[in-house]
Amino acid sequence: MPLKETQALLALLYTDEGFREAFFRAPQECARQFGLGEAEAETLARIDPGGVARFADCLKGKRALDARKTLPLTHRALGARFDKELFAAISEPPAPGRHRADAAALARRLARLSVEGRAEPVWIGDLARFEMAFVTAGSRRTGVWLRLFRHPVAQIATQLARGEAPNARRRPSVGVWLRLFGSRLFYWPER
Amino acid sequence: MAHAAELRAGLGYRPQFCADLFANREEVDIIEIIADHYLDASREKLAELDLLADHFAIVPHGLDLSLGSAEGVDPAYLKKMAALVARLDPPWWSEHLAFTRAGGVSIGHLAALPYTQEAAEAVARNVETVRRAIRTPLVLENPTAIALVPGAEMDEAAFLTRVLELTGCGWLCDVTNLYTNAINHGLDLEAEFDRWPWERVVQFHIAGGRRLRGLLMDSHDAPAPPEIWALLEKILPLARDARAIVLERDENLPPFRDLLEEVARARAIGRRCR
Repeated sequence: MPLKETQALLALLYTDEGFREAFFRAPQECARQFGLGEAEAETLARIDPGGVARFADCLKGKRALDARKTLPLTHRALGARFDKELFAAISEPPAPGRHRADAAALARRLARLSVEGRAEPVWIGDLARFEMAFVTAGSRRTGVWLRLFRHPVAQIATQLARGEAPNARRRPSVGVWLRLFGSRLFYWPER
Repeated sequence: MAHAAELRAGLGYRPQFCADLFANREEVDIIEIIADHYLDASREKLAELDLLADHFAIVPHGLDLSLGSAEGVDPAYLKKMAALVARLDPPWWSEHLAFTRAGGVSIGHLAALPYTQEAAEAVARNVETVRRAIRTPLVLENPTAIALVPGAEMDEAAFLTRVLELTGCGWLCDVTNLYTNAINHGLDLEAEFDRWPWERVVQFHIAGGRRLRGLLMDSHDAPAPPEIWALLEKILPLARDARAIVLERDENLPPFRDLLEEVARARAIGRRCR
């Protein structure tokens, strides 16, 4: 089997739910579209759907685990709903640097839900953007990042980190992150 | 690669137990770091790595080089890996016999290769590319294979042997992955025992996992079960060149003392069986 084409097909099969459904509806046709010949398409069509589904689940589990580590306070605040919100935010196959990309997609979704008044708790969008700002700033050597929030998010983060239930009311706040030439990351106002 | 003077026992480094590790450093002979965590690291994180390197023998373990990709390895990723390996100057470093990228998709985990001559040759080509950038010996780890690719021309033991022959690499024998594949795919590891290239083992991985919907997963979230220790004991007398046993634990981290007890157990088995 031509390895390059086979791997390109497998990569999509493992990571793209829509493609997976299409493949198992018409596996040989799908395989041919990837440049595989008749015999090769027939061979690949024999791939075990159960095995593929289990591996795909395993990949989603890994993505969730990484996103939880990237946004730990958001995970703490959302609890069991974290994975559901994440999977609603990442329908696409993982991009390079997926740890940050997945977390950023979730933060964007939660921010949008907050603006639309559909987020629970109401400050969750702010919290996800707050955590994501640390991740973004931490991954660059130089830059200044300014974020405006609808809630006192630093206070919320501190309370969550201490294991307390946040009791913040709506009050605008600002966060500034600064990093120069790989120096340590500065954040104002300090938590 | 020089013959092993001693078999070291250690564990995969996780920042959560950094302080405990330093407090008990005489009980850990070697640590393995996840290389990917340091490829784009901040100055602080690299300083932490340098501190570790001052106190422990370190081997880097890569996750996303995608040595099995027919389209080759990512030069930017390889460059970063080369810089990290140069920084640490380890006795060896490791990657997986798998692919993680293809067709512009980053799979995010280790996908099994088809067990074919073409795949073995693709790995060999990639290893050659890698060797031009990194002269430190590379050892290859056997991954778990949840989804097997149809069209195999050989089984896993023959494929691994073929790749090691073509590349001249040593083997990072993940005992848990061997056992997991055997259970999940209904293979009789005992009956096929002599077909594995034990003489090529440079390092071992030991970990625990769990069952999920009837499938064994190498989830690294539990102590290694008795079956894994028994398999290690059986392999060790045949793995004369093995130089380290590394315990992997990523989730559900227990008290550090429990991890040290597992490391001590690995060390004791190593002394008894070789």
